[in-house]
Amino acid sequence: MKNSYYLRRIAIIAIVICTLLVNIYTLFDIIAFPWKLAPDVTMHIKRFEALRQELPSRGIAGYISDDTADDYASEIRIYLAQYSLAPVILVRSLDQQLVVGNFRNSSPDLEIYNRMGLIPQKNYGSGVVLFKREF
Amino acid sequence: MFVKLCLSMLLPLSIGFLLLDICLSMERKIPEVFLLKCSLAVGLGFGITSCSYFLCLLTVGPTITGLILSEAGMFVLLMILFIYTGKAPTSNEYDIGNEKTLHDLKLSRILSIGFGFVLLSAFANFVALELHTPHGAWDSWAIWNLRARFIFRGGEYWTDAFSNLLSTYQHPDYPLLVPLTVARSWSYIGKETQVVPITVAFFFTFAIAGIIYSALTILRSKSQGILAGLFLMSTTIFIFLGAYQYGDVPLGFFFLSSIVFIFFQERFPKNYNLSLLAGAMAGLSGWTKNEGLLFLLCLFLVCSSLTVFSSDRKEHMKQLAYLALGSVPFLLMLIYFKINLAPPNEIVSKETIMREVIGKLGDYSRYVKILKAFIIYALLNFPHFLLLIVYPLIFRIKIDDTSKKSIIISSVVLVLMFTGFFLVYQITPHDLDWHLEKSLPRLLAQLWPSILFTYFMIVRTPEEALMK
Repeated sequence: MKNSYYLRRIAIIAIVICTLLVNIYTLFDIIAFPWKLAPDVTMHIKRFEALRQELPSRGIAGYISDDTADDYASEIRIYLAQYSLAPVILVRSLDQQLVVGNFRNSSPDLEIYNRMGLIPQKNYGSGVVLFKREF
Repeated sequence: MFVKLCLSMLLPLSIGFLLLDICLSMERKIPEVFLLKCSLAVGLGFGITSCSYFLCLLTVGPTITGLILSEAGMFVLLMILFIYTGKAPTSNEYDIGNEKTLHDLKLSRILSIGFGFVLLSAFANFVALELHTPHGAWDSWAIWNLRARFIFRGGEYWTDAFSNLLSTYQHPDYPLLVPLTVARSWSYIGKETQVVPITVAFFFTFAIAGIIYSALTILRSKSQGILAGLFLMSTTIFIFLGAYQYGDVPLGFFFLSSIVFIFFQERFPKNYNLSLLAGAMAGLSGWTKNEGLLFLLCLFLVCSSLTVFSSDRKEHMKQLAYLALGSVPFLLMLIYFKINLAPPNEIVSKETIMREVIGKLGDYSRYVKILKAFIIYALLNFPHFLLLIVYPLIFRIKIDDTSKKSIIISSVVLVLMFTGFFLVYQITPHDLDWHLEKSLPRLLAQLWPSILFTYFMIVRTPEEALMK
C-alpha cells in the first residue's frame, strides 16, 4: 500500500519533469535548427509586392515559370504566387491577356518567351516578370 | 491599429462570454468556471461573428458599417440579458471538483508550478515558431489565409475565393470560420496584418488548454485538470499546428468543447442549454472544416442510439432536440455555402467515383497500409500514448456514475471518427502514401484534446489514487 503510494507520487513528479523537458528540448530545437521547420515564405511574398500594386484589382492571369518538373517545389511556387497576388486568380495557362512570370533565374532570357507570343511588360526583378499575351 | 485590433478581438470574445454566462447560469465567482467560460468564449465568439460577417457579406456586402452594427447590436442585446440574468440565483453545483484538493501539499505545489512552467515553455515555443514563420506553413497560406485575402482584398467580388479555377489543393470548398475570422478583423483594422491570424491561432491553441484544465477541475479534480493540461501542452505537434495557423486546432477546439458540454449535460441534466451549446459547438466544427461534418454526424448517431435504448427516453429526447437545435443555425449557413458558393470536394466529385471506390474498398493491402500508418504516426507524433497506456496500471480506473453515458458517447464518437478517417483514406483519389503523410498527423491532432479529456474522465484522479 505504502509502496504504491510512493510509486504514484514519483509517477506524477516524473510526468511534470518529462513534459517540461519535452518543451525545453522543443524550444532548443526550434532555435538551433530552424531549417527543420516549415520555410518562411515572407521573402517569396515580397518578390510579388510591386507587381501586385500594378495588377488589376480582380481577374484571371496566366502563369509561366522555368520550373523543369511538375513537382512539389513548383507547386509551392505557384501557390505562393497565388497567395501574394490574390484576389487575381492565377491559372497555369498562356491563354490570358496578362501572364505572370515566376522564374528561379533572377534574370531570365525574355526572348524565349517573346517567341511564345508573350510581350514583357515589366521586369520586377528577382525573377518576377509581367507579360502581355499577343493573340 | 492596436486599438482596432483589440476591438476586433474583444467583441467576439465578449459576445461568446456573455452568451455562455447567460446559458450556463454557473456560479460566477469560481475561478475555474470563469476560466472555462473565457476559454469556450473564444470558439463560440469567433464562430458567431464569422457567421454574422458571412451574413453581412451576403446581404449588404463588404461594408464595415454593417459589420459593426450587427456585432454591436448583438453585444448590447446580450449585455442586457447578462445584467438581467445576473440577478437570478446561480447554480452552486459546479464547484464539486474544487472541494477535492490534494492533501499532499508539496505534490500539489509541484504540480501547479510545473504546469505553470510547461504553459510558459509552450508559449515560448509558440512565439519562437511565429517569429520564424509568421505566415504559417502550407495549409495556412495555401488555404486559410489565402481565402482571407480573397475575401478582404476582393471587396464586392469576395466570392472569387471559391472559384473553381483555383487548384483543388487549395480546397475552395472548405468551410469559412477561420478565413472569415481573419478577414473580419482585417476589415476592422482597415488593412492586412499577420498579427491577426497569429492572434486567432494563439487564442484557439491556448483556449483548448484552458478548457481541458478547467473542465476537468470542475468535473474531477484540480490535479486531474493539471495532468491533462501537462500532456496537452507538451504535445509538440499540437503547438506546431497551432503556431502554423492550421484549421485543425480550431477544429479540435470545437470537438473538445462539444464533448465537454455532453459531460456537463449528464452531470446537470436539467440545464438543457448545455445540450444546446454542445450542438452549437458541433455545428461550428462543421463550419470550420469538412471533418466537422463527420463529427456532427457521429455525435447525432451516437446520441440518437442512446436515446432509443435509454430507460429515460423522454429526458434524452429533449436533450437530443436541444443538441439538434444548437447546431441548426451553423448547419444552415454551411448548407447555403456548400450549395451556392463552394465548388465540389475533390474526394467526392470524381465522375468515376463508384467504380474507383468499390475497387479500393476491396483492396486489403490498403487497409494494412493505413492501419500501419495510424500506429506509426500516432507513436511518432503523440509519444504520450505510451504513457497513457502505462498510467492506468499505476493509478487505476474510476468512472463516476454521473459520467458513464458521456464516456460512452465520447468514446464511440472518437472511434467512429477514426473509422471515418480510415475509410476516407481507403477511397482517397490521391496517392495513398502522400495523403497519409500530409494529413494523418493533423487528423490525429484534431482528436487529441478530446482523447485526453475523455481519458482523464476515466482514470482515477491523483487525489483518489494518493489517499493513504
